[in-house]
Amino acid sequence: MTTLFDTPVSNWLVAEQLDEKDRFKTTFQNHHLGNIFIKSLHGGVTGAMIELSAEAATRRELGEAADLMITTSSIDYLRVTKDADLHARTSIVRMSRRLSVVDVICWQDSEELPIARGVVTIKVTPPE
Amino acid sequence: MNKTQHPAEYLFSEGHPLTASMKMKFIPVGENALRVELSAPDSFADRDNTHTHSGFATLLLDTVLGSCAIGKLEKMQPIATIKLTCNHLQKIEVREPIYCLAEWKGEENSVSYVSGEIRRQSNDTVISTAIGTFMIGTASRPLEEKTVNSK
Repeated sequence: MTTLFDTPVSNWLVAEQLDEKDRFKTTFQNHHLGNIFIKSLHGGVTGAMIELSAEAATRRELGEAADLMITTSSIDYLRVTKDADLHARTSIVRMSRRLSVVDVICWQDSEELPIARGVVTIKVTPPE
Repeated sequence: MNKTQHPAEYLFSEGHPLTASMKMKFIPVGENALRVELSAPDSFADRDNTHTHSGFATLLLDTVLGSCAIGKLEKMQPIATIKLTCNHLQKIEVREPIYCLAEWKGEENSVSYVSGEIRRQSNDTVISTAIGTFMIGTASRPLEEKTVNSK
């Protein structure tokens, strides 16, 4: 089993986990654009990054072998985006034996100017 | 734009950097719905390499629900997702034929409301569901004006 940041989806997103344990980054690629006229990121790219970051934060706590299933995500888009890198910071709200609930904030220019926030619920299946 | 073409198909054409490789087939359904068919791309495979990551379903739902909202615009103008809520019931197999069906619910105060779901083409099983909310128009100029000026 490969790690989360060595998968086709994370390669497509060009996603990485930074040294700070709750920090993640997507390096901008042309295929991340949604509206090519105003050169804004596709909302789904931001959404995918939020889900990937939430999963990574949960795996960091439970280990790479944990059996996780992302069940819901709810994303608020707060500002217009541009053709630049996307940063994310995760915060685990609640981790129980069966669920992990993770808040994620995303920004481009400054963490003080978030472009999106999301909450992701992940089903955790305990090992048999 | 081809008159038989869905307006969103014009935007997400073969020249679009994100959707070009997905080979999406846009099929308008009545006045308020849009069905998009495709095969789940390899590029979104998850750790097991046999299923796509849920992020692909989220990306597809945002694309198709937004496209459905674009189809209801009286004039072409930019839209922006302001909220997207997804439920992921099952995983999608890589290269599996799927479809996303979106239904426009209405527009009030320049906000368009759309719901939708991803299903398997083989047996119509629900994979993911979503509700999307889109702001109609942005501070940016209308798309047609930009297209003309960019030539």
